[in-house]
Amino acid sequence: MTNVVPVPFSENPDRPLSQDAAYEDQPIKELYRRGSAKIQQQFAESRSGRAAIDERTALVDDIVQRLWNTHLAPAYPTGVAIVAIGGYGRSALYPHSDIDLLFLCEKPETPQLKAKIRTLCQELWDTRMRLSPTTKTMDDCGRFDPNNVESTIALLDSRYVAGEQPLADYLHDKIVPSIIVRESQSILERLIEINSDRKGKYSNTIFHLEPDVKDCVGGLREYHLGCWAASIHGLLKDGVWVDPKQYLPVSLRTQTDQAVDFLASVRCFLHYRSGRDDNKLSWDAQEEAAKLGIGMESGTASAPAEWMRAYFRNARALDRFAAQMMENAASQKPTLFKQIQNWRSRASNADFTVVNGRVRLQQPAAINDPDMMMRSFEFVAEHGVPLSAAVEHKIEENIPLLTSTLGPMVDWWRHLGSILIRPFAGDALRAMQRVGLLNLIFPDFQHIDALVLRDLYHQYTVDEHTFLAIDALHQLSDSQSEWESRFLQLLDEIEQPELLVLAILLHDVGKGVESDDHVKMGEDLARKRLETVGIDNRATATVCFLIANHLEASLAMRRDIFDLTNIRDLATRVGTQDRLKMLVLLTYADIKAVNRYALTPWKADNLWQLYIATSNFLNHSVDEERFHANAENEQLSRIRLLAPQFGKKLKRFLEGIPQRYLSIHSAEEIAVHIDMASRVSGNGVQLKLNRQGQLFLLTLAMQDRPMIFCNIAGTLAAWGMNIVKADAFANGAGMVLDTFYFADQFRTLELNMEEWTHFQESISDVLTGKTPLETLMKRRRSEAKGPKATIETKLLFDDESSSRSTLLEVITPDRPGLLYEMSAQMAKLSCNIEASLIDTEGRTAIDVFYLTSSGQKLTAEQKKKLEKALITALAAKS
Amino acid sequence: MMTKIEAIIQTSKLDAVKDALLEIGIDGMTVLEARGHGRQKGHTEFYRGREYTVDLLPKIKIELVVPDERTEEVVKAIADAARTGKIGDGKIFLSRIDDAIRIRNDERGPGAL
Repeated sequence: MTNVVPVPFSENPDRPLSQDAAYEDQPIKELYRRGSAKIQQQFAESRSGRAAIDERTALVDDIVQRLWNTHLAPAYPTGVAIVAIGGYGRSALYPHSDIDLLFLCEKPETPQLKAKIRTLCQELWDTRMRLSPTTKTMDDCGRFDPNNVESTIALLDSRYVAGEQPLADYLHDKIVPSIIVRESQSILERLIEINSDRKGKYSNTIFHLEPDVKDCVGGLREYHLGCWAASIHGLLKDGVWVDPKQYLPVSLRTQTDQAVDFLASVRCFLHYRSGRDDNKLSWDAQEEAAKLGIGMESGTASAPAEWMRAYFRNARALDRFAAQMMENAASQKPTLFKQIQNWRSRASNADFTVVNGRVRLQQPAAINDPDMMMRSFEFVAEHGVPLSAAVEHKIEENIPLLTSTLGPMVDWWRHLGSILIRPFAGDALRAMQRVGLLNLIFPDFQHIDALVLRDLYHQYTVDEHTFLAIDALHQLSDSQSEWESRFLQLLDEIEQPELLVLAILLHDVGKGVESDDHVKMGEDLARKRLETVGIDNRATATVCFLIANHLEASLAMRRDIFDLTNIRDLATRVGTQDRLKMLVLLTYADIKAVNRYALTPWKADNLWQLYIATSNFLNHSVDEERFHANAENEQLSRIRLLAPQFGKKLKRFLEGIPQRYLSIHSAEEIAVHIDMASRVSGNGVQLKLNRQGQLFLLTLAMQDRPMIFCNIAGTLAAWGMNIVKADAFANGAGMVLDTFYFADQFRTLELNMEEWTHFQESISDVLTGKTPLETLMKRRRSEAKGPKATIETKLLFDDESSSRSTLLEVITPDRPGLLYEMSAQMAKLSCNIEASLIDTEGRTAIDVFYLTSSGQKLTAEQKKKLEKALITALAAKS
Repeated sequence: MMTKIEAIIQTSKLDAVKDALLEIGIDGMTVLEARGHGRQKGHTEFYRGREYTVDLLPKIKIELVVPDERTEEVVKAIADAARTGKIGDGKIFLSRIDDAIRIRNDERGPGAL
């Protein structure tokens, strides 16, 4: 860079600038102007940011050396050196970056030296370079100032430019390593602090509509941070300066290199575009950069969305690089993460241990077992502690093996279901995506990897939006506001929350495939894939339902949320309370994850109002919406397929049954019910008892007659069973089909198999009149005492919702025998239960009865009497 | 010289109003999520025995400033698009605007709109 052969650059633009004709004689200002113009011209042709920053570094080096020779060399052949620091020290001078110069003196600066340095600096300023000069002695450099750790960090990038080289070498080889090793704790702490402040400024996410390519999360600053951390690591471990990439597995080295090249080109483009140190990738700049193919390997134009996808992938790679380098460096300082370690290591167990805030395996080789691999992600999902880089790399290496041989043998759903319901599911899923596991389980997920929806509304890429939606759902547990805690209550009530989270994970996969309808496409892709993941048909149906309808609540909110038709449409679509709750929560999470401001309290409140109205409609419309023989739907065809032997019996059974019955029972269950109904003869009863998780399910079919509901409720109470949920329906021909979910609080059935028969016989005997209920009630066991609930009893009569029945909604503290006591009062006053929906949320019973008396709605007097009787009965016990 | 148009409309009518304005060449407006009621009263829903009284209904407020000569045309477009004929369709308010300034280049008057 110093010995030049003058040739005009216009004759040969590929030659280095320093070989231009008359170069030697040009004033510094002109030299810099022409040199800079040439670099810009080369960038316009090659679009290589890496080349541009190298060239500018060389140009500035050359100018600084010339000025040194002119102004300082004659008077100071020794004792002073010019050292480049910061970006200049890293040999990465972007077109309009500052130039950080350190004048390193052996002894304190004299007035004469100061004057010389000022002259040199003035000439540099005159070229319009933005210069930041500092003068320090070697002692200054060796002194650590805890209040200005940045000045020590700056020395990590020191590079000799001019003057006495041994002086600069001494700084680089002795002084800096010794101060770094001595003060590594403080330096790393400060780096972590600076980094977390910077990231906090950008909301800790790489995803911004107009990112800053230098400072944003995943920006070039991330690369510098990673390099500093690697340097510290190398000095601590081996006492030498290292190439940061030597700490990376080969696969990540290429990724990191590509990412730096990409961002370097983008940053150069931005500097040239605005003529200043402007690093904001604005909306317009994105379009121009995409058109010019900036940073793209092929250099060809692409759509702005596609180009931004490349940007985000590269930003993600740099973020990962920095995180890994910081982890490596911190591992050399066990005390650094002491605080984090202390509380998080409590999470350690026989298989996993938390060291330096990262999850490691007690037996590293165990990660080769797919079961253990999935459990490591369960651990992440439970505790929110990331896997160590080594564990992640090992898993990444194992992925191809899983694809080929072990794939079908892994019970993905067992683990995945468990991951999805844990508080840090989003973090676990991001890690699974990083190592390629998520794409292995759901290959369609790769189509939405870093996919950009380029509008001013969607802040995040589609995959990150998905993870954020899952985060939003789990973060409900920490909700502070009243409106958020309402949604949390719904989340707690869902029967299988893992299906909701799975639906969120897959709700937008359809966006990755070219189609007119991403919703339908998403549903189709999910249906195909879920079969192979090990999820049963019923669960698949729920997940596909949610994906297929994920925009419906939003659509309903854009209509009048108080309009009955709108509410009825949504209610008909969801069919059951459980699905309604899931759809509302999916909508909540989906909107919240669009951008930071998308879910306003206004919108959240509208969603809640829509939920209440639809939920009430579902409870209040049961006997209005009935099945009629001319209807034909998918479910009916499915039942036909399952049980072709029923023939005409199928429609005969369903005729006149509330639509709600069809919504809450699967085709498989209905097929069983029809079979039971076909076996009912005369006054006989058909019963079926199953175990369903923690609860028991009793299904009953018989011809309608007074007191059925009351008799079953009473018998179950006499056996000490606590009814948690029940549905009672009858078809047009008076065939009753009731289902009762109950808790076996004394474990009678659980511990005594022989009691199952006895139990069913006893119900049958009461229903057929063989045993009076009173006999059974006498031997009723005393109730288990639960915590006292402070729930106020409310009775609400409604004559408007149904054209044939009076609705009675009862909200009261739950207790064993409650249903029997209420239905007994109703029977006593000759109220017939046409249909009922029994539900328990926590310790509150929420029961809806459709009542008639002699086939009519209740009169005002009957309602009054019933209200009085119920209040007395409920008060007597509570 | 210029008129500010503030229209309170049903949330469900936002798209229709936006489309109607776009059709007559108006593409800039401010949209605010609002709550309120006029003579249209709210209602009460019961949920799990709790009363949820909705006395302030969700509404959308649109604000835009147009040159005087376009006012009537814009008002008509909004009113036609937002009308259902039922209580609660909303209201439109007009007020005088003295001046407008485009921050980017300090342009003033109707040209800044």
